[in-house]
Parts: sequence; structure tokens; C-alpha cells
Amino acid sequence: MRAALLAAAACVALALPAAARAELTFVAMNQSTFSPAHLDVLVGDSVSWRNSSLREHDVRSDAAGFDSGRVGTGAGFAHTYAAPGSYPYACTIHTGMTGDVSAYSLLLDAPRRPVQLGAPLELHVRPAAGLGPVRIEEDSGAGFRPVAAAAPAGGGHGAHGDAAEDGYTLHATLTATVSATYRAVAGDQLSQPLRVEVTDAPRLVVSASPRRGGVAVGVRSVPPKPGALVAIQLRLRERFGWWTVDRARLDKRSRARFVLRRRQPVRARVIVVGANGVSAVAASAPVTLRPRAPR
Amino acid sequence: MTATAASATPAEAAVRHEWVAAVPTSWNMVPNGRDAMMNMRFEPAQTVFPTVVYRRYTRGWRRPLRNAPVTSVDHDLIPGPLLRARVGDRVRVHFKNLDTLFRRPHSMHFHGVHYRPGSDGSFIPGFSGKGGNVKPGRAFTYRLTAGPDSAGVWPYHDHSPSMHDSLPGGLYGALSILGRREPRPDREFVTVFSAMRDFQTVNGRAFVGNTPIYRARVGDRIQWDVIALGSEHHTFHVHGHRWRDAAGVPEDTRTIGPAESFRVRWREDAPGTWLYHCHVEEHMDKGMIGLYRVAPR
Repeated sequence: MRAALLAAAACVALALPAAARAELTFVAMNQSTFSPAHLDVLVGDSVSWRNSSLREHDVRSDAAGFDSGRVGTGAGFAHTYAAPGSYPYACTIHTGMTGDVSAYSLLLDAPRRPVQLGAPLELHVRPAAGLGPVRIEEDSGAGFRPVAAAAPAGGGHGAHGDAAEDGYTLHATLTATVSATYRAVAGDQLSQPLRVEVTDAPRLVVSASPRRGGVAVGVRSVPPKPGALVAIQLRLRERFGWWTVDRARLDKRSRARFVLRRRQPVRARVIVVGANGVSAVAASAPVTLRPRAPR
Repeated sequence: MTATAASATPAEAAVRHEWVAAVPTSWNMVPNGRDAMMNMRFEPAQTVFPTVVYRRYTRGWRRPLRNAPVTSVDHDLIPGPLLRARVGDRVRVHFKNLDTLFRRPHSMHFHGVHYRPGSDGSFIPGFSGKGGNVKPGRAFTYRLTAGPDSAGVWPYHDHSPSMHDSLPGGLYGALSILGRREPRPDREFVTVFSAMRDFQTVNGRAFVGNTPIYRARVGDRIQWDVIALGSEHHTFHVHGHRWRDAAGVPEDTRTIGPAESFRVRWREDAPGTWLYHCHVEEHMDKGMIGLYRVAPR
């Protein structure tokens, strides 16, 4: 079994682990929400809730067995999670103000944004102190299979573990080939699953030319991606960010053209729309559109 | 701000045909990815989900149309098409279930108008007809009449066996019925308050910049069509404006419960960029807030 695991890890570089300590993560208590409302932590880590609102809150978790009592503006409360599990909590003063913490014996960290096809995919594992060999598993649709392995105090394939009492961090570098879900495993302990999207979205090259009363924007993809759905987004003050104003499919030459009627200069970019129909999986460099004034 | 009193042109009663389908789409509740007021960011995994919505079509469902004339291609489909009529009109809503996503039955159930039980659009095991349980790929025509007591704004929504899944996904819309001699407003703003997953939304969108940006000019006759759907109460509040309730008392906030609806009117006289929002603070914090921009005349 061990040999099989190591064979599966042949394409993987496992770097020297760096020493890691128990971490402290902050959660903001807003007017009526916790932010972030969900946290994944390692057993032994602490969470600190800070009241950044103008009214009193509390934090109570029956599952974790704590009750902060009233927490005033600017004050805080902390709890250390000693055992794996899922721990919902709530402010008992304000209905609907809820959150939850999931504590694991292994904590996996992976890119949250899509990774370019063929690019290095960095994964990091924090195991709790005292765990045995750790492996990373990948599920791209056919079930989980090992893709990297390491053991504390050396013993892994091209890997080393620093079995310090306060734990350590394993770093694995894979090659991004397919969107998949990853998890770390040590004995019967599992990390949280993390989804990593791999994109083959092309690079977009944008050019703009003023027209009377507006501006024309041309876009082409490198390499060619005829048929890909692209959208032009403007950086609009009233939208507080990028906002899609038109969509098009790249033609046979992998080009598309947008004509915008605008009077004022505006920042613009073109995105490749992902499989969900709305998200950007790639974006061009922003350009400033300078329309020609109408006669 | 005072209620509008303007002359109107009497209209002949009409038979109006509307072509609507339930169609799958991918919906993003927070397209700009942020709550700009609290400077919080959201990933697409938190804000994008597949759902089924009502969409307006040309006759015979040949070609899809926009549900409403809006300024951005990124805000259409929720709510469904605004169906307009006048008191006395008969309305034929030709509905087709094109739910190829979940392949669930759907329907259209209309508030505020007159119809026979066969056009109620709600599912009652052993009693209701096909109109309450339109299977994927099938069609049904609802026959409605705008009666003397139908003037106002009303919701319509799925009332089929799958309504408990489809309503939180945005399968609802608005009916706007004018009296026979009522003037048509210059601007009509459909505003649907509804919880959606972890957010509180206006027309399926959460947080300023994402929710509808309503626009008007000084002098315009404004009509807000306000609807609440879901299981919670909301309050409709617009900054810098007041209107009068049925008893003539000025107000700037009005409470609305599930499936209730009302319209608010005024003649615009306050240029500027204003907030509108639900004043249930938890709902405002979770996204039920937007911009109303009034240009000088």
C-alpha cells in the first residue's frame, strides 16, 4: 500500500515543512452578522470574536460548551477548539446572527481562485501534533486517490517532516491538470475538502478605438478560443466594482467587438465567462476607454 | 412629496396575451462580489447558483425577450416579466415549463385578479387541474380578468408541487393593474423583497450596486410596485422622500408581509442619489439595500 501511495506521488514535489504553531483567527461581530460566518480551524487553534458594531452581542455554542456573556463595542471573546467537530454558535441577543466553526485534525489550504491549466498547484497541510503519515488525495470525479505523501520526521518520498511538538506544515506542489476536490488524510482523520478549479481560459488582448459618441472595444484570445463566451465589464462608481454591460461569443478568428455609447472615460476589461455562466475565469488587463465627444 | 393626481385617458377593455416560460439560468446574487457598505467580499461559490426563473417570450415562445427594460444586461429575469393590464381587461397568460435543469413541474398562481379554479395555478392533490402542475415540456394558458377590485400591484408565483424549492430561487413576478382612468406613471419600479440563500435580496440581488439602481428625473410621476415573498416581514423605506397612506398620513416607511403588495406614488422633486432599503436591520445588513438616483430636470 505504501509503495502504491509513493508511486502516485511521483509527479509531486513535497517541500520541507516549516514549523507551525497554533493559530488565532478573528471573527468580526457586525451589527447583525458574524464575518466570516464559517471558519475551518485546526484542533488547538483559537478563534477570537471582536465586537466591531455599535451594540452588544454575545457568542454562545452549546456544541463547544461556551458562553461569552455580553460583549460590548470594541471588546472580544476567544475560545480554543480542542477536539475535531462541527461547532455552530449564535448571538442569543439577535435572532439570525449565527456562525459555525469546523475543527479538524488536519487543515488543508489550497488556491481559492481558478488555477491556470499546467501551472503549479500549491497545497499546504497543517496536521495536528502527534499524527502519523499524511497524504493528500484528489477526486476529479472518480473518487479520491492519493497524489502526495509525507511522514513526520522524514520517511516520505522526497519529503521530510518536522515532527515538532507544536506541529508542522507540509507543502506539496502538483501540476494543475483538472478541476478536483482535495483532502488530506492521516489514519482515520480527514481534513476539510477543498475544491480547486483549473481553467484553460485564454489570455485576452483588448484594444479600444474612439467612435463618435462612444468607443469600440475589440478583443482577441491567445491562444484561439472560438466560441468562448466573453463579457465586457466597466468599473462603475454606482456599481462599486466591475459590472457586466455586454456579452458576446468569440468568432471563428477568436475575436469579438463591443460598441459602447458613453460620454465619459471609464475603465474597462473583458472577461472569459466560466461554466456557471456568470463568473470570470480570466480577465484582460484593464484599459481606459476615452470616447470621442459627439458633434 | 404629495400623491400624484393627474388626468388620464380612458382606455377600452382589452384582451392581453402574455407568453411566459419557466427557464433555467445561472444566477449571481452579488455580481460585483462585495458588500460595499461593510467592505466585505464574496466568492462566486457563495453567490452563484443554478435556478429556474420566469422569462417573457414572443408569441408561441419563439424568441425570448427581456423581462423588463433595464439598463444592464446583468439584471434581468428576477422577478419575472412585469404583466400590465387595466381594470376590465382580460389577460391570457400562456405558460410553458422549459425547466430542463431540475425537470420539476411548475405553475403560475396570480394574486389580485379574477379567475375560475382551473386557472388558479395551485396544486391540490386530487382536485387541481393541469394548471397547478405543469410538467416539463408542457404548456397551460391561465385565463384571468382584472376586476374592479384588481387595481394595484400583485405578485404571481409558482404554486406547483415544487414551489418550496422554486420560490427561494426566484420563480415569481409582478402584476401591475391600473384603473380604467388611472394615469400611467412615468417610472415604474418593481421591488420584490425576498430571502435568497444566505442573503436578503431585492429582485434577487444583494448589496448596493448589485440591487436595482432605480432612476428618475425631477418632475417624473413615480410608482413603486412593492412585493414581499418568503416567510419574513420587511419594511419599505426610501431616503429623502415621503408619501401618504390610505388615510392621508405622511409616511416614509411601510411594513409588508409575505405575499403582500402595495404601490407607492409621488411626483419626484428631490434630485440626488438616495438609498432605499428594508429597515429590518438584519435584512439590510444581509443585502436588502440599493440606490435610487434622481437627475435634475
